[in-house]
Amino acid sequence: MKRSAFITILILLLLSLTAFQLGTSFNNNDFQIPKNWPKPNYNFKLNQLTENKFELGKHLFYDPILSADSTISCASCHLSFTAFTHIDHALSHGIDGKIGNRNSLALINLAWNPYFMWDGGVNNLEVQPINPITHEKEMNETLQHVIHKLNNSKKYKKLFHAAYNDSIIDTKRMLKALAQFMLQLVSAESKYDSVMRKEKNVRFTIQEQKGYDLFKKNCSVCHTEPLFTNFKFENIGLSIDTVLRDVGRMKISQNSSDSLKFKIPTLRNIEFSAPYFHDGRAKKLREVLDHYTNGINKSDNVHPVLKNGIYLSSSDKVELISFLKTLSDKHFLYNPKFRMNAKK
Amino acid sequence: MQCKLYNKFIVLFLLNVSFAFSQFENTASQLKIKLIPVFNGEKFVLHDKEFVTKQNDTIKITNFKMYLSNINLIHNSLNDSLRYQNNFLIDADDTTTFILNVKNILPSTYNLLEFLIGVDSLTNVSGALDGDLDPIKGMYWAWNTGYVSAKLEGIFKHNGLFTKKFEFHIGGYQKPFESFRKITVPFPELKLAVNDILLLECYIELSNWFYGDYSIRLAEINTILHPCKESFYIATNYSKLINFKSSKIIK
Repeated sequence: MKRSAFITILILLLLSLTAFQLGTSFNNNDFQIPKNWPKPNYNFKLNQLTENKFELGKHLFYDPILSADSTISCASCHLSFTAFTHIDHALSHGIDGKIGNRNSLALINLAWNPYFMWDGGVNNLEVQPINPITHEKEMNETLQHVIHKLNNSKKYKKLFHAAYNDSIIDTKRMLKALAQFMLQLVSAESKYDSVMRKEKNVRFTIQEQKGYDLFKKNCSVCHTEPLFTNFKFENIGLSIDTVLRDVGRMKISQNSSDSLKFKIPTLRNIEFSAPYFHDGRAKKLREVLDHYTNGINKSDNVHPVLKNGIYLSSSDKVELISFLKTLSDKHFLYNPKFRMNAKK
Repeated sequence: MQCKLYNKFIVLFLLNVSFAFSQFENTASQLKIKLIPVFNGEKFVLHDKEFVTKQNDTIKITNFKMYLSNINLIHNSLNDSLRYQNNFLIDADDTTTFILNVKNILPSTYNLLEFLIGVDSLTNVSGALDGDLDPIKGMYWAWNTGYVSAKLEGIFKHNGLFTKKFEFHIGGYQKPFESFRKITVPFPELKLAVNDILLLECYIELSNWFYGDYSIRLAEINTILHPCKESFYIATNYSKLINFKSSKIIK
């Protein structure tokens, strides 16, 4: 009796271990790459996705515990309904109402990004959150104190334990979990995607199609499909802001040829991620297009396409904007998986 | 009877585990590096002791931290392909960090200690890390991703009084201003047997931070906080920081 009980326990133990391995992983153990998309840049082998780590990351993302006075969370400047950026604010504001230096970027398809921030100063998604957490104008917190607070929280003890199977809470685990949440912010279900995938009954309108043709002719050299960015840094002819004096990429590279160059942002969900440009100086898409046709400050390192000039008539601009709106992805923007306290 | 079988199983299991561990223990040697910080050969004391640089600046050092990584033993005439990845943060405020234990050294004959001051490129692009590489240690730049290879901070005399600060944070891994430096420290050839500990004592001659190909006069340059031409030069200075003192094998 005892022997058979022992063997049963042993078998159950082994089975439970196997089940545990399977149960904590997403059904699709691998990150899902949309059809015809390139391979992601992120190394998933070093941070294998699990449901529990994603959940932990989501809680951290929405929790103001990351800021010094518990008023600002990541979501304060990266709202799901607005493509995970800060709508209506040219420059994001952080703790004590302090105004930051740049327009918050939309968090979309980050797994493909080779670097982060407008100047590309951050080389890995996992370490990106250290910036807002420790920036005096954003969360103004120290990593030590964040970890201390998390260690004193019953909620996080539980969440970290569920994610990592023991009670250790440290920077690495916090950052890897945050990355798991952000990596899942994939937008690939827009009308544009349906058209490209030749889904039944989904076609561009005539106006959208004309806009798409104009886009391919004038914009896609930098906003390359399917991610709508080539991840390069370019000077797009914006004059320097005399207050911020932001030189962009040059601050990181220390190379004067990078002066006023900023990362090419994705155009996915652009309809919802206003304002535009690194300092949020354009409130509307029409203003962005007006800049490209009439506002280029032709300094030495401005992109050659812009140096030569882009011509778009008023009706071209209307068509182009109607195409850009096909990049809106409601499935992404309203996905309950990405929101707190939303029914799944 | 059933109880006996159960006991046997447990004994077998424990034997198996201990065998696995003994296998591991019995085939390796160890390296212990003891670092002795000095300034112009004098005993180094943080905060209170005054030192004079070769350029005649009178200084007190209030903070010194440095990464040593990828510490390896090699023999300069043997083609030894084993390379270990490891990272140690030394901190003058915590003298226990001046003793570095590198386990699992392959028993062999060695005459060269090889390591990096700083953290290699691969580690710098590897995302969130823990242990001595935890960004919480304050040796990390968030805005321009990269580890600070070494920090030296303090005060210096200006018109006879300690009224001025100096602050050197030398970091970054990207060319042309990369801050890591490969160091080799030769020592008399030694044969390391299984379970032996090789004790290497080395000086950290901190005066070399200010002196070398790039001589620092603190009135002219006293603050470097990002990768640049000057930080690159200082990194070349600190590549001459560590000098061999003695070696012996502890059986």
